[in-house]
Amino acid sequence: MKCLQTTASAAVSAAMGFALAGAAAAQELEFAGALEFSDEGTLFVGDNHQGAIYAFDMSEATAPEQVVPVNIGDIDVRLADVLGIPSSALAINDMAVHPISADIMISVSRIANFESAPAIIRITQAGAIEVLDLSTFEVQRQALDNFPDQETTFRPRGLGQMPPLTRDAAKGEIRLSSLAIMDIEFHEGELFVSGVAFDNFLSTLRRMPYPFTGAQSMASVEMYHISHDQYETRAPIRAMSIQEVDGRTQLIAAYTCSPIVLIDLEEIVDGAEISARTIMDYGNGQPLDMVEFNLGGEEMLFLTNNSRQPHVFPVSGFADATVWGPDDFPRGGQSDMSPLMPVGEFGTSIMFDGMSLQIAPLGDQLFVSLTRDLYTGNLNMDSNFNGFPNRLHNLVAEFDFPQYWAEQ
Amino acid sequence: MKRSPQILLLWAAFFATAALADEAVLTLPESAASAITLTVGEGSTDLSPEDILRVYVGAAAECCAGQSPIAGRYSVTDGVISFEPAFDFLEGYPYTVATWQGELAEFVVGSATTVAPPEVLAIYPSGPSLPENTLRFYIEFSVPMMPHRAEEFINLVDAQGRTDDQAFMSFTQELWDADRTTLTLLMDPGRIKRGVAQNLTLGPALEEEQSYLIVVDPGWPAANGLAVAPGFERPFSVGAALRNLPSAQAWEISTYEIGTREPISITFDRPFDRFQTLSSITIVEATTGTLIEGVASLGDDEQSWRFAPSQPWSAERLHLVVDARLEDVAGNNFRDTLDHTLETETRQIDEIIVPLTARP
Repeated sequence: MKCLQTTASAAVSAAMGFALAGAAAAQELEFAGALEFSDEGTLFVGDNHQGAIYAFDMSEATAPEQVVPVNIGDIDVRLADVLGIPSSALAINDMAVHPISADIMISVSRIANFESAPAIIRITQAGAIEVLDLSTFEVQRQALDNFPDQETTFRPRGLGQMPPLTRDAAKGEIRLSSLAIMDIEFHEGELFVSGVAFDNFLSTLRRMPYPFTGAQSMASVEMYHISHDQYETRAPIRAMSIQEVDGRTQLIAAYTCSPIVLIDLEEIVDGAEISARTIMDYGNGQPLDMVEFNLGGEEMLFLTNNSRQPHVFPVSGFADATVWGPDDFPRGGQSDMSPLMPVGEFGTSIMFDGMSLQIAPLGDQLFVSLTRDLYTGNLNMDSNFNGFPNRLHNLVAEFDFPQYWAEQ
Repeated sequence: MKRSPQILLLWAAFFATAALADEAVLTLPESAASAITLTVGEGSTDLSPEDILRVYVGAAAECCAGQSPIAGRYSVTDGVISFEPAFDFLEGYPYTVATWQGELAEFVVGSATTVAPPEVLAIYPSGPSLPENTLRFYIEFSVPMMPHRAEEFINLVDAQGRTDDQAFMSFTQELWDADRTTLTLLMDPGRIKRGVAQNLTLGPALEEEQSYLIVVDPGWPAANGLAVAPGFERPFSVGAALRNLPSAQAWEISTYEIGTREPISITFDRPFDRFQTLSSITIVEATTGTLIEGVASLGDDEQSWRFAPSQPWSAERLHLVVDARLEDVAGNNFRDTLDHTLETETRQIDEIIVPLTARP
């Protein structure tokens, strides 16, 4: 579904050597990162420490008569309760919804004194919170080739000449491997995995059949980044979706700061160096999740971002899109204030109350989101209908006055 | 049965066992991974083990409204309910057991080392007098420490009590070892190197014939945040700068006796960098280059080195091999001094080899 957060707690966990603790069930999994379900209910889990994808067969499931909204306040505290830790020792890595049971799965890191353990937590339609015993599922594992080492870390940068803040410096302790499995997409018997590989040309798309056979292809991806005015080969695809565009199966991918590119699936062959087609740049910020949904019969994408309002795109808008390159712009980076930005825009930035850390479709009608409330700072699990405006009732407006209703 | 104050005290302690009802005995975990048991005796009940015994994260005083119990496995054998947590309990963090009667028992697991306050074990170089151009200090802690706090807690103070807040290099990254117990502190080389900007504007941080303190202020938290370190002071005086190359020819090197495990010892011509020295000096068999296994240690304030072989000496010809990049406490190595003019030629060598002498 989407990518790993790099919050302070994730930085701490990345900095410390992860050791297995607790649940014998999770013996083999060392890190529970990106999640994706197959249509039949196999859960794929990205393990950024071992450089492997795990596939747990959860196809034995019963569909609820009707998918209902699940709302749980202070979800991080509730998850931490079950894991036996304070919420400050919890890192939430990803969320996905079971296609049959509508169980919500959340991958987390449980950070103990000097070690960390992975866990997948299931939240049922009834709102029950359970740590999954992964030993009860049939599992397949696929190791990833050319996985980055566990030593190389990012080079910290501060704001200009200002002395670096603790969070700037902490970047220097985050491993490159934390970006090695960013997003996983399942499409017609194949897994597509975005992330960085250990090479100078870091941004990579991996492709492998499922059930795993050991075969895998790796293609390098570069793209023209409009706001940075350069071709970029390192930054990984943060979130992606596979769709039919212009009669071809294409991967729609979002990068940080925030280009959106198209890649033909047939280009993703082993050893290829792909030049992705930049069709849009909607400004600075870091994409989080790209989820598919249907709005009034039209296929849509919902893209969240850690610094901007969510964006909604009709998939049809990607047809015949203009491809932008360096010749289309004056030289130099384009700031947020540039009249040229955003470019190639279609779709709409929509209202969303609070900031969504994780979002996933829940049934056909709903999104389930882990939402940071602006006023309290609490992290809540909210379910909302996938029409817009969304969460409008959270605002205080004309409609909240008793006099308004008295007049009606 | 009502809990007596004595039993409450027991519950607050580790490894406590306390009676909850006439026939019910609760055993709290002894270690992070151990189980909690409740002996309830044989009998029939409609209650499930989960109804009878639940474990929550946090202190009893805040337990357990709106909280979910922690995940784990229950088993029931011969009237004993056993709860095994899915994950180890965090050491040093409170947990609360709640029983079906509403009784609460708080416990903490933890080895003495997890919850003991961290402390500074040593600051190197360890001599009472250090050269004016000393480049590097190491601060060794007893447990892993919270990073990004060095600038806040570490100061260089002169004999008049004045703090020099530009003595040490300020990096975006602190220089910790892998388990984050030893911090490398670099003196700003710009203060040491003669004639460069900071040396001219601020002068050297350490001056000959003066005395100083490296002060680690109290309050630096351990990496797990459970305790803070008390303060630490390391006084030293400053002597003449070291501005020439080290010379292995000036070292006093002991002989060795074949068939014994008597250590070989070296007295250096100056104090060397503590951590580099331990990895930069080796003994090999002269003809084959085979590394001799053993244990090296430093003494006399990093001015002597001692090596005890794992097996008795057997080779007639041994070589002492010194990596030419080994630095003294002022950052001078066997190729060049830290502070030299552009015209100075550096020595193009990788290692220094000194034949060792076997005693007849």
